[in-house]
Amino acid sequence: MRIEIPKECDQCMKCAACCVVTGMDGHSIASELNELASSGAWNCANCWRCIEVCPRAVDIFGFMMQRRKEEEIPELIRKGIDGVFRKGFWFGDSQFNEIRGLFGLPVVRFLGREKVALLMADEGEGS
Amino acid sequence: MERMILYPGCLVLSRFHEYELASRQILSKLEIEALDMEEFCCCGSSLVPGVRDDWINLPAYSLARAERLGMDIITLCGSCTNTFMRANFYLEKDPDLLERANSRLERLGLGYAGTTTVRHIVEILVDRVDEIRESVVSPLNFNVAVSHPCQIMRPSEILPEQDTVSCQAMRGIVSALGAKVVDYPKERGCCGSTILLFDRGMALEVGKRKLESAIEGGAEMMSVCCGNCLLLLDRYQSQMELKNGGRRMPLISLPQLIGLALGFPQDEMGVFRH
Repeated sequence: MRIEIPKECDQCMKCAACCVVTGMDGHSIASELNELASSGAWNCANCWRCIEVCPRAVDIFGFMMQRRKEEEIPELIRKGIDGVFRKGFWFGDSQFNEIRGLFGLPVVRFLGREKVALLMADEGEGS
Repeated sequence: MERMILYPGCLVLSRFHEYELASRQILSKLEIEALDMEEFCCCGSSLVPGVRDDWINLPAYSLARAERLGMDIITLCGSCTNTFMRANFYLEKDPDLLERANSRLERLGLGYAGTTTVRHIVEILVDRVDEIRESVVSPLNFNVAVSHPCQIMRPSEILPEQDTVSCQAMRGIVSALGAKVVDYPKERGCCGSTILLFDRGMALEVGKRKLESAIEGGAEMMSVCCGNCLLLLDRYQSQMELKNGGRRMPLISLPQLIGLALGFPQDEMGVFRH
């Protein structure tokens, strides 16, 4: 069963009116709150204007994160999150430190898979 | 010399070496020693909470590392700033959540009491704007549009320092360099960079509209202070057909711009990469 729209929301459309994504005729969490579309929770520019304009202090962030669990993760985001759990880094760059060295920037050591696993809940516990 | 932890974030560490380098040089000039995270870990951004309820352990790790050293964290990206501030907000509000995070941090020999302050570099720079103004040797005699790192300002429930990091911060710093800050309608609007992760065409259109708005405002260049803004407005600009006769809108990060006004050599400020 889908996470329900928070009862505080009276669908005033203020979030949809300020959302960058709906402003481009796309669907976002603002579309879901106002029942204009049934998916779009991942389509967010992270500008958080919706939270600022909401007159009823709806927990839009919390609702969006719960709805995201029920919707398909865009491929690029999936890849990035996999990288975070692989070694604590969004990208899978090769020659990462070599290129940094060309700019005179310090070597970066990552937390690494084993320590990330220690930090996060065991399989099935956290999601 | 004050010591702080520099947390450039995944995007800047990987893609915006010139921004990171200039930040290090300007911080050093301002007598701030920027130390690196011993073992770097992604902040978790606002994306990991969409798949994991225990996302907060990721930012808690970096916050705990800094706390152990007794240092503030300086961020270069709006997204990391927002995530760390959000994590601090939730951890302070919910002792059970803090306890659960600590049970994980203990496995790495760490613990977090919730005392680490996270500051975006704009906040560090605006606090020292007089010192920056007095150090200018080459005043910037051109019109600059600023694009603000919007994620360090919203939502105000989590980011209560909105006044100090408001849009006036970047405008004040750029003015202190001698440049004229132009007004343009989309100045406060999101650049649209994160949209790249799910709809490239939409992101390009949002970015294009922002750049065109700045051009119409009379800007000769745009200054930003966030890896996300640089990604879309600079790196992806060649994929936008701007209504300005096809000319490129020069983009530069705020620390690089400061460096130029303070007399750092152009090649050291990485301006040729833009």
